[in-house]
Amino acid sequence: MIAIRDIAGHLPTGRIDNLAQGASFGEGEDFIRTKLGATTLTRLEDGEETSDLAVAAIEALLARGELERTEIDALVVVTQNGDGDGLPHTSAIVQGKAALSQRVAAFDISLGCSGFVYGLTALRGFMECAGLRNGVLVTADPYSTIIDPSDRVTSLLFGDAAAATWLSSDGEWEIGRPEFGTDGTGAEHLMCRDGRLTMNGRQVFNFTAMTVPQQINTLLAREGLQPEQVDIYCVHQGSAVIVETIARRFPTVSDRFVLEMDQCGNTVSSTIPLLLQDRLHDPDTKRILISGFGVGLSWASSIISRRGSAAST
Amino acid sequence: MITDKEVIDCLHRANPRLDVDGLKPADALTDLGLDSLDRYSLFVELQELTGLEVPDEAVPKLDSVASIVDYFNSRMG
Repeated sequence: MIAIRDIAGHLPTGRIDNLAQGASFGEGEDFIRTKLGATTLTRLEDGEETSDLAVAAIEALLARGELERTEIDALVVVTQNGDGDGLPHTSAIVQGKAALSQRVAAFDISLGCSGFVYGLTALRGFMECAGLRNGVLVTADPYSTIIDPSDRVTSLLFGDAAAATWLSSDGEWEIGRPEFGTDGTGAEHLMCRDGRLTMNGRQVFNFTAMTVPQQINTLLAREGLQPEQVDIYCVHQGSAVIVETIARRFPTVSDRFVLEMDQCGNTVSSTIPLLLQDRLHDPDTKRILISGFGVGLSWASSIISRRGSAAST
Repeated sequence: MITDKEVIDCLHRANPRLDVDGLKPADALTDLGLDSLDRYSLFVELQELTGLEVPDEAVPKLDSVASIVDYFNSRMG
């Protein structure tokens, strides 16, 4: 069984002071800190491309010393803002820049904030079907490339980042069967038009608040679990208020919902792996629920469990 | 039908830090310090309570407990 072995994140060096940016839009510090949840937003430097973010995350993973680049059999890049105009696929460019084997299977997945959860299952299935041992799932979706700086709604929210997740036949964290969701009738609420991101904040908030807790409950019920049997909840860091809104719907475990986006913002499909990278190594953590949701509209939730623990299958 | 108290309870759940003590039905919620995200949260709470979704264009006009009660009760009546 293919499982998660390790995760390494990468934040680019560019920074935006979101308190100052918020003030320019007439927003106070309290709104930025407690509602949006990020006092600093990360940004690509001039000339940096999505593939560079992806490579940096892969190099961070390789630097941990357990995976050799020649051992990587599959590479998936989750992005909707890849290099150039999207042709060729960004994962091919990453293969070249990272000097991976030419035998590697490389392809992109076009998903946003739900992309990590979908991507885990997609890559796991691909690897198991193809008999592969080591694969890397990279999330790298720099929205700074499409944000209109005059748009308050999106300028104050999104940050750039990447994460590389190593899936392996020797992995420690089993990937549970997800619950999926798609609603294309909501596509217009978060859309790139003429190269610029537009977002109906209220509709996206509504969708998340009404849909995600329901899916989490469905997943828990399907697995025969009570909320207290999950050690931590790593949901997509859409904003502080949305994480808190979801957490409130699980009153007995609301303190187990992680909120950690102050220094980067909403990094799209990278928010969940950035939360997981250290938490996977806490020996007391056995079962983590992950849930990604957003553009599409698309959403997915699953449970990852430490192999060999009572939590694993 | 919903009541003033139910709307105020929804307001409190939307943002527990808002001071709703002494809030009168005609008071402007903007004056209470309700921001855009509080407003989103409030209407989610009201939707969960009533089953009714408020369209985007109606939201700006609903800036008091009284106007919210009137709006929902006219749709639920």
